[in-house]
Amino acid sequence: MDVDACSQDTSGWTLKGDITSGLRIDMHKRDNDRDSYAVDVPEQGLALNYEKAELDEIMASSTSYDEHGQMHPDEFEDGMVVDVTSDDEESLFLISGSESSAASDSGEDEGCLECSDSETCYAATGDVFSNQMGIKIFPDYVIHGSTSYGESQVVFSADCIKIKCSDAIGSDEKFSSEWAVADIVHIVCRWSGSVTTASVKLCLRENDVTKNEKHHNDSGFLEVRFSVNDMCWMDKEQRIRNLAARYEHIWNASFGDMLWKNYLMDPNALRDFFAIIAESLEDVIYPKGDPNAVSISKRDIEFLQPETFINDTIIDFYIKYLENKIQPNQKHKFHFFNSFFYRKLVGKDQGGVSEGREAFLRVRRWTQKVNIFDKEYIFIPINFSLHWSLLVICHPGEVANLKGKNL
Amino acid sequence: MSGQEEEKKPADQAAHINLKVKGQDGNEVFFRIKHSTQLRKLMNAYCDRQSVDINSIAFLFDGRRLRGEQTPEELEMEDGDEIDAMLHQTGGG
Repeated sequence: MDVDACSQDTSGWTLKGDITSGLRIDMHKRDNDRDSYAVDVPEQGLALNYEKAELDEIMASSTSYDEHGQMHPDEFEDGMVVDVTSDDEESLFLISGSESSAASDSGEDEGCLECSDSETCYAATGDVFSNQMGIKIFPDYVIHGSTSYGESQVVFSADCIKIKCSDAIGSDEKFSSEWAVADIVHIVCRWSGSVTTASVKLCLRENDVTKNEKHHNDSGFLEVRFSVNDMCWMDKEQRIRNLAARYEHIWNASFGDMLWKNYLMDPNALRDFFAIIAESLEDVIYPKGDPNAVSISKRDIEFLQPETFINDTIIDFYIKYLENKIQPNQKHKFHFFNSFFYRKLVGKDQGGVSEGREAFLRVRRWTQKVNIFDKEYIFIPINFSLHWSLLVICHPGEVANLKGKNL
Repeated sequence: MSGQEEEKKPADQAAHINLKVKGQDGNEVFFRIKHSTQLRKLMNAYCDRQSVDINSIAFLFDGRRLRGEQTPEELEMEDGDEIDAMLHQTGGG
């Protein structure tokens, strides 16, 4: 067997490449080696943050049993059964509820660049401004939150970016603010030569002005988009990027680049990126269509932050990922348990598998569809005492041939 | 008339199954749920009842991690089947 987790192609899920590279599972072939292999997870600090969910009214009633308590049919009749079907089906609102919370303006640029027949083509005048003054842009429109502004001015200078907007569509709202370059998180710029228009998306940290606005969302970030029709945009873009290292650094940087460049500069910045990603990410089900697929939520992504412990979902996702990399004709040789197998096997006292029979009964149904003794290798991820490790059982089928030897 | 009602009843019951959710402490809660109802409903009800955050609990059935949008039907659950409610685990290296 030779499964090299680290060098696998990471396409398919954009976050994987950079983020999971810290998690290495070394499973190189070793002849007759029956040791367990180690999963190496880099040292990380504990920074867990569970939100307390608001609980609705209690709709269940229950009874406490001793650990191995059996279910008695007559007790069933005594009102201990919770009927969750009595509510109408509409009460499944949580499905859409959880998704819509993140469905704020996704900020995805549809690439619809409107070419205005502009008297406002300031291509020539743009050159007048020196670098000290900053580079002035006159966008055709600026979108901030849910408001579009017609008349706007954006000034990039070495230490800050100033945005002034008026003539809001549908109201006479005005908007004016300024951000230090350090508070510009990201700039995405797309140039469309055919319509000589640049479409720019700025991701900015909330400042005092925007904090109290109605567009405020809780992410701590805001997005400003504008489109500028300018023959000389490419030249301007280059000059803006030359204004300060920060611009060059964040300008259209690929996510991975940015992630690590920023992490090196400022570890806190990386948290910001995770916040942004988590915001824009829908739940990922991997592998799609597999009955045993793992569902990764926004919350799980947070566990990939530096100095954070990894949770079971990430571990199970990665195991699924590795499993999928195995050649189809080799798959029957391996069995992967999920991260809860060991926890269930040892039971609540965690002391170890003391009562073999009971432990077996707890997980008996886990393998009802597989014969684990047919497998060459069985993988069991273990979470014990806030530490992840991986147990590999090699050639379990040979146990049957060990009659004469000491077991 | 009464004969018709009796015929109706078993068919109605067949649409429901009883499921047991077992916590790590051995505590058990019973639910009656339609075959076609998404398990999310059961999960929410369980977590409400136990006053725990749904995000802190993983639900498993015969070792399979359950997702809220799955139904007893697609998981081929039968009357009396047991679902494990386990605390999520975290760890470093």
